Amino acid sequence: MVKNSLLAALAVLLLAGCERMLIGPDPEDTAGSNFDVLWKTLDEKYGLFPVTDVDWNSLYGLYRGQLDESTTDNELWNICCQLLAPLENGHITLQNKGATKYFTPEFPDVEIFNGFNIDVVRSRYLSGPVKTGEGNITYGRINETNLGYICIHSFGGASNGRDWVRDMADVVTEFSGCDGIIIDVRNNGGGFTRNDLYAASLFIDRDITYYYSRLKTGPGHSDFGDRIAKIVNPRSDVPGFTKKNVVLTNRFTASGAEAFTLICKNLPYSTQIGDTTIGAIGEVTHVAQMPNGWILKYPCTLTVLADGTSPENIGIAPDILINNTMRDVNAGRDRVVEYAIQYLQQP
Amino acid sequence: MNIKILLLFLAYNAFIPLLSNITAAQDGTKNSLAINVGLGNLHILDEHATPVIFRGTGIAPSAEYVHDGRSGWHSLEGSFCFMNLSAASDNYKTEILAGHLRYGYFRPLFNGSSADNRPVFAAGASVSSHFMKYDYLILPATSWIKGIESWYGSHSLELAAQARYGWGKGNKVRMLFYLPLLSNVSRPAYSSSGDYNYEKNDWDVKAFGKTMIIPKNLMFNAIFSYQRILKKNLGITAGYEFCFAQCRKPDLVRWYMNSFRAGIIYNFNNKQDGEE
Repeated sequence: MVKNSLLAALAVLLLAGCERMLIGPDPEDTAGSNFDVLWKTLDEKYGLFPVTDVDWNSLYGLYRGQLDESTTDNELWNICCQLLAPLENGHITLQNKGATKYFTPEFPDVEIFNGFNIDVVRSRYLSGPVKTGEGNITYGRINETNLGYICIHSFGGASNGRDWVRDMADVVTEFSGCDGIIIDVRNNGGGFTRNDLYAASLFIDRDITYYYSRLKTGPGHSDFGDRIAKIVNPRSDVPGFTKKNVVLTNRFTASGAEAFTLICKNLPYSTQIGDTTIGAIGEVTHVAQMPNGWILKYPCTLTVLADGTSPENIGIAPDILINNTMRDVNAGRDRVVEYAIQYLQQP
Repeated sequence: MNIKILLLFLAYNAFIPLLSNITAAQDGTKNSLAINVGLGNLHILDEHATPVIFRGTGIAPSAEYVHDGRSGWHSLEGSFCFMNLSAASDNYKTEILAGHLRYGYFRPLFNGSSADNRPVFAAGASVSSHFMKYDYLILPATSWIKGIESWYGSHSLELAAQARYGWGKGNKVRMLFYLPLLSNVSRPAYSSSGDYNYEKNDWDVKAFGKTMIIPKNLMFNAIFSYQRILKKNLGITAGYEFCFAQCRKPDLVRWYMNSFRAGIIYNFNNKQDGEE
């Protein structure tokens, strides 16, 4: 028995020793090591340093020196958040193990979020509002007009896995006789690219290159590949709506909803009304794991427009700037929708 | 993986031994087929996805067909494994699928047979395909989701060496070593968006990639096996395999696997069996 135990212990030691010798040491779960992983991951993989005005190396020096063996989890969390904050990108998220803490460097004033309330729109401006698309779409006709209203709350996936975005085609068909449509993507935080592209393809009458993506090709902050055109084509399988439309945006319009906005921005018959979007457009396919179980998500591509500028961290400015206040919403009004109705009714 | 590429992969590994079998149909040849069950223990660091090391154990069945001709020895082997790997933090895990096919040709260095109570050494070459694909899963709150997908594929022309020693009635040990000299290596693009298919919301795994010479793609494979013929042409076999691989492009991936296997072996069309 003792002999077997000794053999088993020896085998474990050999295997553990082999790992260290053949692969290298596992990063330690210490404050310093976790910080190093976070900093190095972004240093080598983050795609937006060219449009970010930060000295990443000096931030390392500033915060790394504050960490030692006595640093608590809370202190490490605060320091990591301080490190991420200057990146000012809404696509970066850090969450702790168990998801009890969550941080993103760009989070606009919550009053802006509350400045849009779908219940106000439903009760005051729509006749017979309907919810469809697994709850992702609210639509209805604008009272006493020949205008349609579609609010897309999210481009994410449905919890039941259903391909809900195809319901958009039915909604657009129902509005085929309308003179114009208001497409509301305020507070829409994005989701799956295929969903925002499908929705946008129902409103376009031509192929549209909505932005260019440059992939990181190496660890340097300037290591990028050539521009890859991102193109969306009109649908041929279902009828679209290519009359006048208005896209409503606010500071919580993010990611895929910004791609949707950019696509519509290319249409001569589309107008963006509301506020500038958040400016978090790049593709987020990278999820990094820190030794302590914290999870970091970040964009690993650089999004640029045809003129070479990047809307990242800036957002897409509206053609007409107008915002609700909390007072408006509390009074049951949506001034943005009201303006859009007036705008679409102009000859 | 694209089904056409998979078929191509299987075909190219299968046709060479088929041809050699046809030409080697002569007196004194030996053929055997071994089928094994096995367990593999894998340790992997893939910095494309994470600096965290994952490790775990899973099933690793394998099979090998050996043809000993007068002019040389041929072997065709394949294995498969599925594992759930874990990391130090319990909200990370990795599901891994790996497959491996190899055809090897060896020429004995001295005139001798494996059954005459003395070691025989052989050298040769082999072609192999090794592919492993792994999903890095995270547990943000209550359910596991895929964080990132990565893979390592290596299709190689290898230097091969073999030593055999046979004794008694049907006992044999073999040691095999393989070292890839020229490889076509498939790895994800540096930016994980480079392989991401937005239409299907998942990564497109590429079967082939860049061609590299040693040591840019470094792989070392050693196999030790023992077989014993028990009754007529049927016997048992057991073995151990060690495999180590490292590639630094576009990100460092480094892994090793220890596999233990046991199975049955069938010698067929062997007129010389038991005659030594």
